[in-house]
Amino acid sequence: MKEFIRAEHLSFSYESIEDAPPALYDITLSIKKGEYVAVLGHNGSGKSTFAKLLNMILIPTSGKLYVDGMELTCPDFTEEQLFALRRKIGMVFQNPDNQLVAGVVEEDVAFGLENLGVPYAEMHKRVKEALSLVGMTEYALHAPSRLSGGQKQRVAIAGVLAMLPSCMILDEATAMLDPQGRIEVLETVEKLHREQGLTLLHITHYMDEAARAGRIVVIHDGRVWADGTPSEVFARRDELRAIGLDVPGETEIVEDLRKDGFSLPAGCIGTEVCADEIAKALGTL
Amino acid sequence: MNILELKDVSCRYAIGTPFEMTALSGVSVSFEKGKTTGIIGHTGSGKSTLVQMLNGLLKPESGKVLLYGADIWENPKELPKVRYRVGLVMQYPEYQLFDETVRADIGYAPRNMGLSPEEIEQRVKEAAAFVGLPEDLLDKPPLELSGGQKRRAAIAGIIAMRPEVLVLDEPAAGLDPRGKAEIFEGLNAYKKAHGATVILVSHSMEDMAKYCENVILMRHTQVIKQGSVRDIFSEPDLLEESGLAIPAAYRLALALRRRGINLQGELYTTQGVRRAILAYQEGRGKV
Repeated sequence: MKEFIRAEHLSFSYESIEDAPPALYDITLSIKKGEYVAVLGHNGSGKSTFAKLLNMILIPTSGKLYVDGMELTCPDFTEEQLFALRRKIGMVFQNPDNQLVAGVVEEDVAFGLENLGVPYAEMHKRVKEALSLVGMTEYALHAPSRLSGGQKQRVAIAGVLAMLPSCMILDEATAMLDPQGRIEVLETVEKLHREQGLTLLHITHYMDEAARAGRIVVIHDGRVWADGTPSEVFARRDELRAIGLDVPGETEIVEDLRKDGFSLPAGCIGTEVCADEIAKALGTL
Repeated sequence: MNILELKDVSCRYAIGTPFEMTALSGVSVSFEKGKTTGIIGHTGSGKSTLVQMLNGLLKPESGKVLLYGADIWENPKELPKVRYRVGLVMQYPEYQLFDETVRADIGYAPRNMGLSPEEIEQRVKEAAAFVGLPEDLLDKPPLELSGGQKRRAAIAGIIAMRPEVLVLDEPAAGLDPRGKAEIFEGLNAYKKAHGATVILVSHSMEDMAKYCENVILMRHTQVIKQGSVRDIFSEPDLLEESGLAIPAAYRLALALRRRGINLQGELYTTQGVRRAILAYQEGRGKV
C-alpha cells in the first residue's frame, strides 16, 4: 500500500520551556494509507506533539515530514498546501465540550464546510452522510449539549468526516467517556477504517484499546521506543511497565502464568485468544 | 460507623423548563468511616450529582444529607465548614488552578480557613508529598506543569484542607497507567495517615477492584446496589445491564468457564484469576 505519512529524523522542541529536552527526538517512521495505528506513551511522552506536527498545528524543529507526498518541512510550503493538508487529516480531541461550537448538531457538523465555502446543496449532502456514518442521523436537530459524551464525540467525528479526510487522528478521544461511550466511538471509526480505508491514528492510554489496532507505536521520552503488532509490543510487558505503561488485563494474566511455568506463547491478545491458550496449557498438563 | 449518609435524596435539574431532568430519585446510601468507597455507573446515571450532594454543593429537593448524623442543610451558614471537612475534587480539577504559583494554589483553601502562614506552608508541603509532586515545582506557575502534575496539584489543593472525607470525581481520567497508580497510592497514603474516608467515582472497573473496599452501583438516577467489591463484582450481569464493562480479568474467567474450566475464588483482579488458575491446575494434579 501507498505510504501516507513519513517522518525522517523528526525533532521538535517547545521554545517556551527553557532547557527542556526536545519533546520529540529523531523520529523516523512510515505509516501506510489505510493503516490502523495506535500510539501509546505516558503523559508527556510526546505522542500528542507528534499528532500536532502531522497537521501543522506545530512546526518541526528539524528533520523531514511528508504527508501524502507533500513535504510539510519544505521551506516554501504554501498556505494552499496547508489547507489541503488539514482537509486530509482530521483530528478529534479529548474533551467533546471543547470541540462542539454550534447550538444544533447538524450545524456543528457543517461548521468546517461553511468555512470552506462549500455550496449549500453539497454541504447538506455531506452533513447528512457524515451523520449517518456515525449513526447520529436522528440527532441532527438536537442540541449537542444534551448528548452523552460518546454521542458528542461521534458528532465531532462527523464534523471531521464531512471534510472528507483520508486520515483521522484520535488524540485521546475516548479518555473522557464511559466504557459504553468508548466502544461506540471505536466501533464507529473502525468501521470507517474497514469500509472506507480511512487511515486511523489512535492516541490512547488504554492498553485494551491499543490492542485493537493493527500496529502499535510506543513513544517514550520523545523517541520511538517500540513499533510492531500488538502481540509483539505487549510481549514486552516488564519493559513496558518500567516506562510507566502496561498491557491489557488478560495479557497480564497470561504473562504472569508464563512466569509461573506455564507453556504459553508471549504476547497473547484478546480475551478469546488468551482463554484458548490457557485452556490448551491446562489441558496438556 | 457511617460518616456520611444520604437519606431518600431526590434532585431535578432545570425544574419547570422543557429541559427538566431527574438526576437522583430516592437515593439512600451510606459511607463507612475510614473506608474507600467507589461509585460506578453509566454516563448520566447520577454519580456526579451524588458526589456534589456530599459537601452541600447541591441541595436535595427532598431527603437529607447527614454528616455524623447531623443534617448539613439544617444550618446553611455552617456549610463552608462542611466543605472543609468533606473535600471535593471535581472532574478535571486542573482546569481550576488559578493562582500565580503552585504553592499559592495549593495553599488557597488553608488560607481561607484562616490558618497561620507556618501551618499553611506545612500543609502545602504535606499535601504535595502525598500526591507525589516534587517540592521544586511549588514555585512554578501552575500553567507550566504537565497535565499529570497539574492534576496532582489540584488534588493537593483539597488534601491541604485535611478533610475527614475526601471525595474525588474521576481523579485518574486521562492519566497513563503509572500516573493513575501514583494518584491512587497517594490517596491511600493520605487515608492511612489521617484516618480519612475516601469516596471516588470511576469508569474503570479495574481501578475499583484494586483500590476500593465498598462499591455503589448507580443506574438511571438510582442506586441499584451497594456492597463490598466482592458483592458487586460477583454479579457481572448486573454490571453489563448497567452499561458498564466487567473487569478484563473476570471476562477471561468467564471465557474459561465457557471452555469447561470453572475457576473458584476472587476473579475480578488479574492476580485473583492467576491464583485461581494455579489452584485449578493444582487441584487437577491431585486428581
